Amino acid sequence: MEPIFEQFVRDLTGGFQIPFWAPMLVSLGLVLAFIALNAMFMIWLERKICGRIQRRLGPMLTGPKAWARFSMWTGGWFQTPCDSVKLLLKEDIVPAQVDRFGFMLAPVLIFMAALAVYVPLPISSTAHGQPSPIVVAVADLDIGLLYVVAITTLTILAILTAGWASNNKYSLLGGMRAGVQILSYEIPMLFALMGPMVLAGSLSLGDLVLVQHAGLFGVPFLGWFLVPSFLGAVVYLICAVAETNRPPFDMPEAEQELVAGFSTEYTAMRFAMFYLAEFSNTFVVCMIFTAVFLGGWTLPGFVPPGSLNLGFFHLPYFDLLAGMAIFFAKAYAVVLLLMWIRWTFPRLRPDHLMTFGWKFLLPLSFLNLLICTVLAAVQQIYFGGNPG
Amino acid sequence: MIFDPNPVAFWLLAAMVTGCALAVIRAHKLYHAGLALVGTLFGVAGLYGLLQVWFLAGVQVLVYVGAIVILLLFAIMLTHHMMTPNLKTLSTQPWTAAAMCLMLLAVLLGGILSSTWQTAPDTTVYPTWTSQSGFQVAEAIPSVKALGFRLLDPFTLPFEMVSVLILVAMIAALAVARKPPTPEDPAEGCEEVVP
Repeated sequence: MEPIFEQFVRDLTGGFQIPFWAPMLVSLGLVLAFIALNAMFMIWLERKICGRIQRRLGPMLTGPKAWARFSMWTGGWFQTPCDSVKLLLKEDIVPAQVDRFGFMLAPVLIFMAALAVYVPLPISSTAHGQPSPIVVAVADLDIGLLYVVAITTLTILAILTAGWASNNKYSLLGGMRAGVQILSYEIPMLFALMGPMVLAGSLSLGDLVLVQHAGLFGVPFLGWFLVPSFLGAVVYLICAVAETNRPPFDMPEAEQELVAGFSTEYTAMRFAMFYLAEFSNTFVVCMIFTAVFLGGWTLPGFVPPGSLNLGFFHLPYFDLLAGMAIFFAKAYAVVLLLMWIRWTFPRLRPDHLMTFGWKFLLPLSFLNLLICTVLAAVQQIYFGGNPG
Repeated sequence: MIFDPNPVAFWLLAAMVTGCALAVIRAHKLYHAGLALVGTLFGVAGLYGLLQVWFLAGVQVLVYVGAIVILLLFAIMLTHHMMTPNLKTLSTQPWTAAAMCLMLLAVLLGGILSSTWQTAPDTTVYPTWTSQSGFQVAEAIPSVKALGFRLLDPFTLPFEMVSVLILVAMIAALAVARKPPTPEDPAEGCEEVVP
């Protein structure tokens, strides 16, 4: 973020040197705005797709009537903004018997985790194809993947705290179920991500994308880690659904058994924070899947020019914008897949979930790591330019 | 004068670690003690970050906060003290405890004062790979890569021995915790839980 932001400001103002804290503040604002707007859009999309799968129209009434008459996909655009305003204006209730400290801490903690996880996610790059492309991320950390997994564990902490502090049996059971579920599925997820790590020889998400663009065995089309690490991609996607508590893995808030699980006692802003964090996390796992398995902001054999000159119109930063467009197109394709899964599969039973995670996904992720290690060794021995 | 944020960050983190550690032993609810422990461990991770060993900081959060404290909290939830409001937190034998603490402090201080601290980064040069130009010589920074080479090159044997040690500890814990099967009920202690 920093070098690009600095360059942008310098280009715009003619040599103004920004203070060192400016990039941090700007990235924080951008990520916050992105989380809120993107979650609103995703909630609308989720309801529309749910409607389509269940042969309904979804929200149609809030918004311009002319748009709604046009097609189901143009109706009800203002539904989620209105819902958000309603949530913000509702009375904030802290029940008398709850543990106040834990009750107030949990939503903050879960939102902190949802916010912090955006730091190493790369969405584009400039100077692509040159010796040192600058990756667009808040900070392309050396330990990117490890950081993401470590921050995710804060979510478990927040959910457990919410369940315990609510002082309510449904909340406690929901919190415990969520904690056990996320903890169990984190292990196969980590091993599924280790395949690409071995292939790329790096933990940085930016490096992972660049290595994928360079290709495996000298073939750029083999480059996306979806191909050599296919098992890992499947395991990661299943674990990602379980990690975000989405159906078919939504036992933590199985309505007929647990009311609303750990969020039973929460209303207004605090509930909105849980909801926002859930949708933000869903998009984050899709972004990670895109960066790790789908080649991030790159397409095989495509290097966008630094700026586009259309004769009458000169577009600077074209490579950056094209990369972003490619990245978000891919990420939203994964989001659509997750939504499709959500509305077509029935909910699992908790013990089936545990058996599936520990006895099936974990060995499968080990197998994936083995395959990736062999491929990385072959690449190192026969094709030089060893990844790692 | 250029403002150096490192000392400020160090003292803030140190205050966080000590404050949270005090809260762990003085909290009146067990769960709050667990949450304070998270604060301590995060502070330590922050100190690692200040020393620019990011990998260690990440592993600290992943292993201690993500696994050990979560397991601790689960264990707390299973005790009958889960919602007890006023736990007794002071020791009944303050003088013995003080003596033990002083002894521990002496041992730690002795270790800290007698050690020669290597403050220079690991300057060994390791080969690295970039997507454009193949092999290159890495910058001499203490990176994940350097750590990996260190662990698997000169320190392979101790590394593997530690994993064996952990395995032994795990099996030993199982052997201690499990009830021996009795003649009346051979499946005692390892029956399948049917939900």
